[in-house]
Amino acid sequence: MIRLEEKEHKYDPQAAEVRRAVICDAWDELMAIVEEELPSAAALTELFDRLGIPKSVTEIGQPAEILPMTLKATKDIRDKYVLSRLLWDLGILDALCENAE
Amino acid sequence: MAIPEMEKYRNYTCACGKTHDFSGEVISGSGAIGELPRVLRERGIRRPFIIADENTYAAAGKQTVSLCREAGAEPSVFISREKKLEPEESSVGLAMMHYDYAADACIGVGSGVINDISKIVAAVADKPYIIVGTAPSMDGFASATSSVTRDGLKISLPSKAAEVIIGDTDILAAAPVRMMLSGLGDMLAKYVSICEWRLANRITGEYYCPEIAELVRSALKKCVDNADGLLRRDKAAVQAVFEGLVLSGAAMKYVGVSRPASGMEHYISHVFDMRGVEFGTPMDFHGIQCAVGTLTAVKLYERIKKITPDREKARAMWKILIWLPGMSSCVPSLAAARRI
Repeated sequence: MIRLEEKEHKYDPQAAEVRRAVICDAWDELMAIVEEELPSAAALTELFDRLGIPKSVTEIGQPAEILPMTLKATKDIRDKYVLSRLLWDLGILDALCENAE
Repeated sequence: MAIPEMEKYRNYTCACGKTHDFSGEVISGSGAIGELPRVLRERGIRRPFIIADENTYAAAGKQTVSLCREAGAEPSVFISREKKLEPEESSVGLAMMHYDYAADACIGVGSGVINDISKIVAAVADKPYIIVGTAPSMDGFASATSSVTRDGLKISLPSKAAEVIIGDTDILAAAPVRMMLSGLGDMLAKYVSICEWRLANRITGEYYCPEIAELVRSALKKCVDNADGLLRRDKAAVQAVFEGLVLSGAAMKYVGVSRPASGMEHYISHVFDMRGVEFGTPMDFHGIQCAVGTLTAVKLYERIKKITPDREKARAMWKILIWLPGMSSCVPSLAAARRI
């Protein structure tokens, strides 16, 4: 994790501030990307139901309480900037993960 | 029988600034395995080392052995007897200990785990690698890495890219339906991975290739359009998933990063895998776990679409969180997740 941090500057206040500035200034643009790229959860749920694909962690044998910490762990598991990193930069990772489903 | 969309990307100089290349041969479609004797003859392979498990040997291993013989080659075969084969140190070690030092190539007969193990064996032995797919269940067919657990941590270990990828739809369509759905799940993950690739490009300036992103989007669309056919073992649906998975693996090779094929949804799956290896907690097929991760991530994205970030509040909250024990920051959250 120390090696990763040298590359990612996840916990570096200055680097985080730079990312936060971009995120806040370009928020509408970022959300437009999300809108373009992702199907709705409802459409995906309908597809999963139709095909019998599990939709929740409990359906694949994981305890429900594992989900919040699993989501938080994704911030540190590899070196990519993913949703959990964005939420971390905004200071809302813990809050959003606590009642994720 | 090749994948037409991939033909363009042989030493292709892209507007993104990179040269995209995948030199492997992909043979897909009904009866594709029948090309194996030609493949072996063309490469002068006389003694391939075949790696399979009991299920994949029954699905395509026997046929692979007889096709090797048809080509004048005499294979040696390792069939793993593990009831639940996982990609970790002991399974790789076992395959290595059965390795035939006279072998001049490795052939993996299987899907996720067998492919991951075989690629490592081929890399260590420095021999050409061929994969005969038995289920369209994950996107590692074309990648030059193996997704394995080492020292309790899920990693992408550099291994060996396949010279030849064979996906015979007559074999693939006979795979358990859940494995096909796993492949579809690994493709659905691309919704999130492409989205996050673009977001990262905008936020951190990370490299992004619009052309390769579009290539993966098209493959994903084909899979979704045909998805219902998987339950009927429809060969067009199976082929769409297999080719989408191969293309996703090739896409990672084209751009030199895993961005086109994996994002937060894959990390969710990795945590389940690490916990499974360390604590014996349940693990499902990789793509099934990715599907759950995809839906979870999509729901989180829907929630953030409703917020307006406040830079001052975000900065203040971040300063608190970074020092709060037990939150996602200063306890390495990964270690915390493994302890639960």
